[in-house]
Amino acid sequence: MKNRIIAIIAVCLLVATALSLWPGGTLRLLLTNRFESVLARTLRLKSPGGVYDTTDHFLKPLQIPRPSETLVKALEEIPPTDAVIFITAGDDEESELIYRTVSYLGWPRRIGEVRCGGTRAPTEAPFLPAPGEPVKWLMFYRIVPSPDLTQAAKKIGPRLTLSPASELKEWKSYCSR
Amino acid sequence: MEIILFAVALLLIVAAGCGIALIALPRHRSTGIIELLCLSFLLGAGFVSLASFIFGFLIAGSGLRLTIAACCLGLFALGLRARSWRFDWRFAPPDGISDWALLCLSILLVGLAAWVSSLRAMGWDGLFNWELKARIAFLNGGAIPLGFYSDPTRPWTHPEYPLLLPLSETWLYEWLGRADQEMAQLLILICFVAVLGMLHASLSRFGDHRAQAWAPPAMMLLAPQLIFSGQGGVSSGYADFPLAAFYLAAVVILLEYYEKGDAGLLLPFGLLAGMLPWVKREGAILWSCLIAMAMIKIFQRRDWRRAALPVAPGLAVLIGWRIFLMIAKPSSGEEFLPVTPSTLRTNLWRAPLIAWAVIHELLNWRRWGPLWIAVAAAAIFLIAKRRRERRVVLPVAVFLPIALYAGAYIFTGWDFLPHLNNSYPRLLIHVSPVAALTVAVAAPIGRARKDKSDRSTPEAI
Repeated sequence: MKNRIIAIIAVCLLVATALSLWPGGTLRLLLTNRFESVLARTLRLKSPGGVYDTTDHFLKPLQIPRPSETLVKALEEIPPTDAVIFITAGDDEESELIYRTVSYLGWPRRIGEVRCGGTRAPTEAPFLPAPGEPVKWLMFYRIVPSPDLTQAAKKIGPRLTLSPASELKEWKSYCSR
Repeated sequence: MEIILFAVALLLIVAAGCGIALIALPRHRSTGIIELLCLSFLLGAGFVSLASFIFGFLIAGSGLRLTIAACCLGLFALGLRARSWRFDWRFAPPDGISDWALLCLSILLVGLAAWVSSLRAMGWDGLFNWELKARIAFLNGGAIPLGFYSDPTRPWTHPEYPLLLPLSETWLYEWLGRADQEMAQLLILICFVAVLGMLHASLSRFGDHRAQAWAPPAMMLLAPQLIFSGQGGVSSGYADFPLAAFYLAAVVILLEYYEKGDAGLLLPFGLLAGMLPWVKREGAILWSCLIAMAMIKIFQRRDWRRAALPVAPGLAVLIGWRIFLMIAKPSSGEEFLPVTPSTLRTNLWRAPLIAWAVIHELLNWRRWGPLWIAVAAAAIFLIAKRRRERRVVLPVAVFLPIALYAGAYIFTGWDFLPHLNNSYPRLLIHVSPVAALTVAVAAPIGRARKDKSDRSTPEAI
């Protein structure tokens, strides 16, 4: 009985291996692509290392050196009780990643998000501070703030701007470029 | 200096876990030093995180750290006292070229995982769902402030997720004196070492031949999802691999209970299984599977008096966390629809599509190599060969969670196929070390049985 089971399993595995190695078969493709899909991709994803290993990797689109440290320093100027709104040009994955990383580094400040939809999608504000909580700062990602905000604004790299919110406006109004 | 502080934090975790293991494990059980270290790390991480969570309501900062450190040392002393202050930690060095080669392969595997971890950043969820809480707790003196849970700007951090991994990371941060994203990845690498150690220890207990010990490292090496790539793997910072480590340890103790019928194993089993819902929400499903299996054997053996031991720790964690969430009122939304007969009737049409997607995933060689095909063959072999209790325990411990996880997508509130394709591969990680163990135990290698008395005695305590 035991030998029969071993024989059946061995034959099944041999057949599977033969089919896999056949031109175009899974194993053949796997062997060909393994270096590309496993090791080469891993090497391309090389993270910068250090205390902010992952956040620096996520903040690469900001195009600034040591982005996490730079952002932490910029956010330290904001009192911990002040809420911030992060205004971004769209709901793409990159913008969402930047928003969440800014919120990560900005703790304990409450950092809400406004996604400007433009012509393709509606403007959304999925994560806003509680009503009544004063929003005193605005952070613009890939959006040029309106002229009344640019005077006091501080550029954090070519894509990110931090500006005090002089008065409370409708969120959509910050989306106009 | 950093290495010393990191070592102190880790040693305290191991000391606490060692104390718990020495108290909980039956005195007459022969436990190897490798197995004891692995169990100590897992139980210690569970204790430190639970203590941080509970004491964090009362004290903060260095007071919290010193209190927990004192508790760790106290537990270690209690454990030694339970064993009459004897700590016989004999260790058998590798015997023969095969053992040395296996050790080299295991070191190579750990080195490879460490290298990949050093190259890769954490995954999205690894940072935002898990490490973020560790950082917040560190910045807040060791405990997560209540305001975090109901923060309307951070529901995407899933504040309702349990805290074993974040608070264990916080423990390391507190000793290091800084939040360090690379160190968080290191903790999961240690879980990987614990998995390898538990597999080795369990095969020296249940295996028939030394060559079987080659199967798990080989399976892991051939499954890129576990080490090299993919969400939930060793380098991603997710809680899936730590959950897999706890699940493997609990299954190994349960299997021993099934085979030996020693009711003294029910307490360590209950402690390990009870940590599963504290690691990740899916841990509640794994816990339910294990408790159901344990109860079947308890009823068969009529161990009524000890029936509460395996259930109580997990139930306490589940109920305690539920009560806390009711008080904290987390701000995140629900991903799943209510589990009711009407939802089931409405969404039952999804079942065949889910089954097809699951089979497709299990046969995905780019992620899993030959792992699941080998497990299927091993399960057939174990059942056909009627190999004692393990013919039931191991296949059920692998395939029942796989089926239940798949069934959960019937109730998802999202588009179910993208949800499944995105999350199911990392759910399979939870059972993959047990799957590797199943393959190894079933491997039909020769007839020569190793001399268990020779193997187990020298390295036992």
